[in-house]
Amino acid sequence: MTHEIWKELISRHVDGETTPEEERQLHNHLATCSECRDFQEDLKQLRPAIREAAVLDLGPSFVVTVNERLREEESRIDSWIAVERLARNTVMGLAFTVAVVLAVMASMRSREANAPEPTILTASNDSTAARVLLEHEELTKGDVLLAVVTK
Amino acid sequence: MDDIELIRRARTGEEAAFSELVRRYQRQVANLVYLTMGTRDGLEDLAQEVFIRVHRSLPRFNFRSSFFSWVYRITVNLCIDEIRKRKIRRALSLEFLADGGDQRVLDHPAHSTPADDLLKEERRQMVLDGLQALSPMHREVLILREYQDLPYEEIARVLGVSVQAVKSRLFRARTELRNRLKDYIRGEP
Repeated sequence: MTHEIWKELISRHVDGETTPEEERQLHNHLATCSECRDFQEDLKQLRPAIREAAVLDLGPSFVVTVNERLREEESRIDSWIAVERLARNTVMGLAFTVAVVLAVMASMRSREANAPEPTILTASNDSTAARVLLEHEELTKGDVLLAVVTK
Repeated sequence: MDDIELIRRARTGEEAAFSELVRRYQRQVANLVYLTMGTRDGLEDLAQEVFIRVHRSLPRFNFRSSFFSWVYRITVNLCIDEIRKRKIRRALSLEFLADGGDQRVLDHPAHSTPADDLLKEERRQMVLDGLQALSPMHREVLILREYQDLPYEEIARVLGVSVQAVKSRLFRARTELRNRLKDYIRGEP
């Protein structure tokens, strides 16, 4: 086996992840290989070195600060929810108004479309009717006026 | 009370339950951030942000993984974002141009150290620098094993890789860190 393979085995050995057979082979190899012995010793030092580097503690006030930030965030979210609700209600109100207006307009158009055909004596056409009748010389203005008033 | 029960209660809005989770994991999170970032600068803010995100994501926690594994992923993702932001800020700063751009982002401890702690601080900084020099993939696996003391199977679950990949990455990471710190660790009493 090469040193590379022995060293990979040593890496597992320091974690206690080797089989009894691998342990036996490694033990025999280390007895004769100073390079691998040095490697093993160095690896064993890495863990305490890393743990010594990580010695921070944030203290009891940390959790208080986290809770304060959470409350701030919740309050911000509540504000946004209120704004969103207001915006949604406004938009829905506008949409409802527009819908009502459109419905009324559609209803009026439909009523106009279903109305009976205008006769010669409808108000809008009275003056035209009068003019047409007057063009016939047999009728006087008095006849026409009488016809309109009678209607 | 176990983590699961605390998470259930925290989900219903019980502040005391979430506070207990924070107390249980604040030290681990702080040191994960420290080892990953290599500096105390802004560390408390980052650790707070981790727990804010944890709180925000609690409804999505599915109880299939351990709570720590989940917190760890959130912590690492946040650190990666922060490292990216700091690099961009530094690249944009005039100081970067004046220094020729050769200073590292994460090499300034925020607090001064008493004289009798200088040596310890120097040693810590060497280890932190060594960790920073590793690729994120190797740094992660080493922190999970050497600092968090997680078994291979759990590391594989956290990182989403095979146990064989964990063994291989650990070996590479250790070899590289050992080569960087060889003189320092051999000089230890």
